[in-house]
Amino acid sequence: MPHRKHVILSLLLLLSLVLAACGDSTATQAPAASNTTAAAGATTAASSGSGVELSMWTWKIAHVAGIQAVAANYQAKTGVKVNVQAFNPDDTYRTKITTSAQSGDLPDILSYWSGSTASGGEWDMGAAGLLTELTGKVDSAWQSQFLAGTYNKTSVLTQDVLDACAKDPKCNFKNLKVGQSFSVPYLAGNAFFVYGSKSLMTKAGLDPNKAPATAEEWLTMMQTIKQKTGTPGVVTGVKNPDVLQYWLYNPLMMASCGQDTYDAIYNGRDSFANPCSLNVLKWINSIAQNDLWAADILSTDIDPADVAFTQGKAAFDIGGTYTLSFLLAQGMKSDDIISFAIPPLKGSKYDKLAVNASALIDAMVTKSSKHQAEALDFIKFLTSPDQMAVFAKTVGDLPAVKISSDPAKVGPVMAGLVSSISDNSPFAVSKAQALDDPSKVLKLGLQQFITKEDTPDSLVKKVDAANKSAWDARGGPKA
Amino acid sequence: MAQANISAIDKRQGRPRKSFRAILRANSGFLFVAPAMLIFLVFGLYTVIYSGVLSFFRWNGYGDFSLIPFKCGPPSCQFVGLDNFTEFLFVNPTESHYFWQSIQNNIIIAVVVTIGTIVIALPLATALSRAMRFQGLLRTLIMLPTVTAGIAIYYVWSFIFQSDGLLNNILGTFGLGFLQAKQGWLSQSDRALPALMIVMIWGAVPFATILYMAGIQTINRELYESGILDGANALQLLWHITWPLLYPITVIITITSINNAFQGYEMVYLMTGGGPAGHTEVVGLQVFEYGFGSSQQLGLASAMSWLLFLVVFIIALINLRFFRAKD
Repeated sequence: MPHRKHVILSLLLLLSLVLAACGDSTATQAPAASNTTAAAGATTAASSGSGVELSMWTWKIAHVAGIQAVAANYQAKTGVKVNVQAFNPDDTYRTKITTSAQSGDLPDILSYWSGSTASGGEWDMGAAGLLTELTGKVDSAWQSQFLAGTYNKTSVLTQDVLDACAKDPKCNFKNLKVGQSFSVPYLAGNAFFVYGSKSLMTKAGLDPNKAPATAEEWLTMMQTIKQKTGTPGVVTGVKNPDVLQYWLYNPLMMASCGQDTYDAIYNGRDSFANPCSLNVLKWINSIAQNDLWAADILSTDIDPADVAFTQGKAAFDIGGTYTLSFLLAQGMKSDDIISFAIPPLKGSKYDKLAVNASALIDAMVTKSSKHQAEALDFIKFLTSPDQMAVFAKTVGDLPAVKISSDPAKVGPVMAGLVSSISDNSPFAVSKAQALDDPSKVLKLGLQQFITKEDTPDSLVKKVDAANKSAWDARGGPKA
Repeated sequence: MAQANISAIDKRQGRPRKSFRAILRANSGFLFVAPAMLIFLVFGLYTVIYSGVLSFFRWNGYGDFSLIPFKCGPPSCQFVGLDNFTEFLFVNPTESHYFWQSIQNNIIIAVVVTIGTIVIALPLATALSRAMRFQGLLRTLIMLPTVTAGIAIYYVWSFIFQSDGLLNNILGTFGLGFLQAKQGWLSQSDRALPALMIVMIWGAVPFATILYMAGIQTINRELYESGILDGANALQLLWHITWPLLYPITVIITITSINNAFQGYEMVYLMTGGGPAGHTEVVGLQVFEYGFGSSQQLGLASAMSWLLFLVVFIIALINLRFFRAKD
């Protein structure tokens, strides 16, 4: 049947075109790969000037100006130009990295969430051979520049993280070894900060310069402000389910239970129904019971929450070190803001929560970079104290490097933040591992306090069940 | 003459040999569809097969995973059989709870939005078809929601649904304060999904109306005239003449609407992010979160997509059978 034959022939022709288009491109990429090594080897010569251009990606649009300011200094010093691009929001950035990794179009330098052990995180990229290994390249002089609890905790693979990976059937970086490193941090900070409106406090007859010493006192302040001014007590980005767990429950629970019990609860050796945890949940629930959340709270994301605070729609805003610069950028006056760490409940293990700086964003050199040595050299330049001070002053965010607290050098806002960070926070030594499944149950449960669909007593049972099941799947609780 | 096209005889096979022009003419149809076929094979069939195969693997998007030639390099990629499917169906109690809750939301959306769209679009199309003047202008106006950028629309609706937004204000003005959502429509667990469905229906009605209007043009006017002579009122004409004769269009609208209800997630992502407390979570959003959220489990996302496809396919088949039986 000639007609049928023609149909088959046409289809075969099309399929061969498709196969050619989708075929392995290794053969054509191989010479480029070997050029890469050659270029990397010749880097020192290139770094003295010479038309080398590096590319760097981030998802933080607000950081572009700060990195560009450092890049301009670097170009003046070495002649190497660094082009910075931002891809936003987070999901878009992740997708951009995944697709570029497949097509071999990654930039020379990547920014990524520090110490991300989730699937697709930094360790996964390292294990998949996408990043240049920095093990041994960050010497002790360089390491000493980082804030305590940043580089060592998240940029170097620890036994703890590797043990957790070994137990997780979904973990993709089991081929890595303890001590391996692929990145260095350049941005740090932490949540657990509350910003209060001094004008609303004054209006309600409260002392605007007196921060609450306990969570109960804070709740009373919210009630007073609501009663006297009609303004709701507190706002934060509750639409993002992570916020209530990480920014409110965790610091309160850490202060209430102490680090050992906090770790034991998350690691499956203790219960979320432990009174030190249950009391925290009851306190969070009381915010909703007393109708103290700002209006539309469950559909309010992080930035809109900060905007609502600047507009006087709530007396307090829960945020982090990164929040203050945003509030000021929105036009709020610094002398109208009182800031304090989340105050612990009465009878807590710690009567004041010391807040450490955790690494938030790391920089890493991609293996496909044709200028690996220059890229690493730029990262070293970026994370030097002087350049980090330039970055901090430009963007108003806390770097992961020890910088001056002199307002003249880093600006008044940054000087305040630098001095509020402690090296002795229990979070800096905590080995708690919040698994995905119980965290999901906890996050939704905390939101359900606001919709009044759940209670603390019922939530702890569900979280405990999810935690037990998740740890059982990993062979039992974490020691 | 057929023989004129024969330039030579293949002596070995005893078959007539055709000229190049004759072959070209005989296959011109295939050549015309070749570009479209190529695009379909590369961007359609290949990706569908790729996703199908991927659903049996655990892959984080890095390292090797390709079909031609087949590659799956550990540790980034590993074959897991049916694990991706079983995980969210029943093995992992947390995941399966949220998956089934999402399916339930999808079903509610599919039923309510489809019925709501048809109930509004059909009478609207009938009324617009009868409009003597400004029919072009009215058609243009009604299509506005379809041609306006989605993100802008979703933000406008988000403002409308706020606690101090337009909807609450209107309800208050007309003495319907008891219907107001004090915490905002998108923040209250009992209002968020209905609010989203209002926007979905609002977005779907224009297209359905245009389809119905096109269908109404094809109905013989004499049927209406004889109906009127028999004393039928407008509602009876709609029910006994327009509705049965527009079955094929209703089938298209129903299938499109169900498909959108199950596969669409953009609006939910932008307006509620699945909240409050998971009350507007849909499977499409879960697929997106697994694939491109912070956990990057592309195999799991593919498995969930295939299951979603299966559900939509079965519902579409049932629909077709139902409407065919009615027809």
